[in-house]
Amino acid sequence: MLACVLLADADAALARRLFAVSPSMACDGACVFLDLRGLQRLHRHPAGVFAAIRSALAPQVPLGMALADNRFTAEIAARHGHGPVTVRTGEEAAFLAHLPLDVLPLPHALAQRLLPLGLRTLGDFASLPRAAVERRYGAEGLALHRLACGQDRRELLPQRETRVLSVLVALECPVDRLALLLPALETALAQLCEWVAEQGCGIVQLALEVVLDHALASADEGAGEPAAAGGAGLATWTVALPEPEARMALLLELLRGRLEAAPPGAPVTALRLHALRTEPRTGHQNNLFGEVARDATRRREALARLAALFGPRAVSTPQVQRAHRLEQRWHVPDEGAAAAPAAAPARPPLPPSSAPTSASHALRWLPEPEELVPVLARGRLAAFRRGRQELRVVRFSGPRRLTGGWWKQPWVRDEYELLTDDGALYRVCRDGVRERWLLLAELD
Amino acid sequence: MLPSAEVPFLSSGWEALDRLLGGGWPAGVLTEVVGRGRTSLALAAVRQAQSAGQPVAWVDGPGTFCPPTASVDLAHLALVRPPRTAGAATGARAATRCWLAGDLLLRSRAFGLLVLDLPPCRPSLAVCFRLARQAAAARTVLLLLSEAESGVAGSAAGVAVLVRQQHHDWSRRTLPPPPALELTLRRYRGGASGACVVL
Repeated sequence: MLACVLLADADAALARRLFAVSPSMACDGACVFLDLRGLQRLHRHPAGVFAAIRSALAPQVPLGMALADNRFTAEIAARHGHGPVTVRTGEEAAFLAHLPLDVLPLPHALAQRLLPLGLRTLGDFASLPRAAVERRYGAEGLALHRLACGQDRRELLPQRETRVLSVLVALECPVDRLALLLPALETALAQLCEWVAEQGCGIVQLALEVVLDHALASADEGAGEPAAAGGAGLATWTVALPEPEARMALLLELLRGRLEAAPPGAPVTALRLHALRTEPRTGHQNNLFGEVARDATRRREALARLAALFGPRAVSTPQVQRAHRLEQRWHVPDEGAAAAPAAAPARPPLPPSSAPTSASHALRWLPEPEELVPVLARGRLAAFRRGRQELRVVRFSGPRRLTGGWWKQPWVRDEYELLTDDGALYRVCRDGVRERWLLLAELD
Repeated sequence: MLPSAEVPFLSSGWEALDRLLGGGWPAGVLTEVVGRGRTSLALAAVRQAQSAGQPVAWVDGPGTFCPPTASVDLAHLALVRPPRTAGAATGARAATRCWLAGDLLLRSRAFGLLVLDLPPCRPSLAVCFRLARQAAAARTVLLLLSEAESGVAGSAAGVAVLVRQQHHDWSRRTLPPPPALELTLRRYRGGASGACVVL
């Protein structure tokens, strides 16, 4: 069942009052449609609906009100009925039958073709055979014929109630300690987060405004200098969040931190929490039979915590670049280090990759090359000592000579792969400038 | 222990190894991989996880991760390198940072695969059990890479694998071919096992 309320003019503020009657409302100019499905137990009977509408609009009075099963009938009944009208289910065609044809949204060309036929009322038009109307006037004529018969398939596109996301809490007595202020703050924040979460949004910018009692502060301190930041008797703290957030505990911690860093300069008598900006939260949808979707927000949070713990460069997304030496073929961008938490999202699923048939050359590259003590036999490297361990070379490949830096700081080195008797394959090099052997990496 | 009927698996990248493991690397279980060749196994797992759209993190305790040879999608790999201050590279502090990073990443429950590459330091068994519990709660595939062939996780590991490289002959003028990997399943479903496979 739909209710149509005809207002004096298109007044969005007045129409919003009708959210008290139904949470599903759509405005079309001065007509406001209310979806009453599921609200029978609330309003009980049509008279209850009309009373609720009058009460919501008071002291304004609607120009017309009607209840019907579809939008067109309800609108026509509200416009042309005398007082509140209820069109019962199945009686739409009978109600519309005596109304003039021009209540239909007739295009001019079609009206010129219909009126010469002697059609004067909706009932006349509805009595025409539907197939003949469709054949002669096409889809447009068929749609109008359905309306004349009291059949309207158009659904409402309900508006969302725009709630002012602000909570005011008046304290019973002035509070001068943070521990006493926090419960009130928590109550207000819980209400605010609930509203925000209902709308599927998160808070991006939050403001806390407190009313300060300077009279008490002056009496205690003997000085009447206000410490308010937001004007006389008011102090304001603002919290900006990088992601939409609706978790009360987190927001409370942030506000607590702000208040501890800059406490109010006088006892607080009231506080107001205001969500200055909200944005839709980026949710994730699990499916019934697939893998559990991973929450990108939690992932970014975890990486940000690690970055805060170990330093921004500890969490990185290295980038590969072209270079002559392997150790220079990647770098961690400075700006990328800070932005690294956002650079690790879940990839969209790719087609399953083909199984590798063998291992590739995965190297463990030593952060600092380790100097080796070579054991030469007839001018060739036969073994080397690594710490206290002497490793005999079983097989090797190389050398591969790399040179460069002639324009600034020349370097030359010969690289080898050495298989030692402990089964490890090392990449070593002989530094031609400093005449030393270095262990670079191990194949792993 | 592996709740076999409910545990999803991540393909290892080798059919033979998947068969050996009963489907792949199990999620929610601490899997310990020791020996030479462990990095290749872990990188193959990373490739499979990225193909499946799962977020991956790699905690590089020794600081030896080599991006150019990793052959994974680096843009979608969260690489965590705890700082290695002088004197702590092989010490307990570096290891503690690794555990801390691993614990934090697991608690976020936001990663499908976590590779924890440990510096050469033996952790306490309590730490390993804590990680195993976190992995079970997060249903994350946790690969623990350790240099010590004896392993470090002990009974906390649901699966323990020993890897060895088998090198082929090669000419001294060419780069050595990738070695074959010989895997021995030391521990599976909390019990002993001795199954072996060559990849």
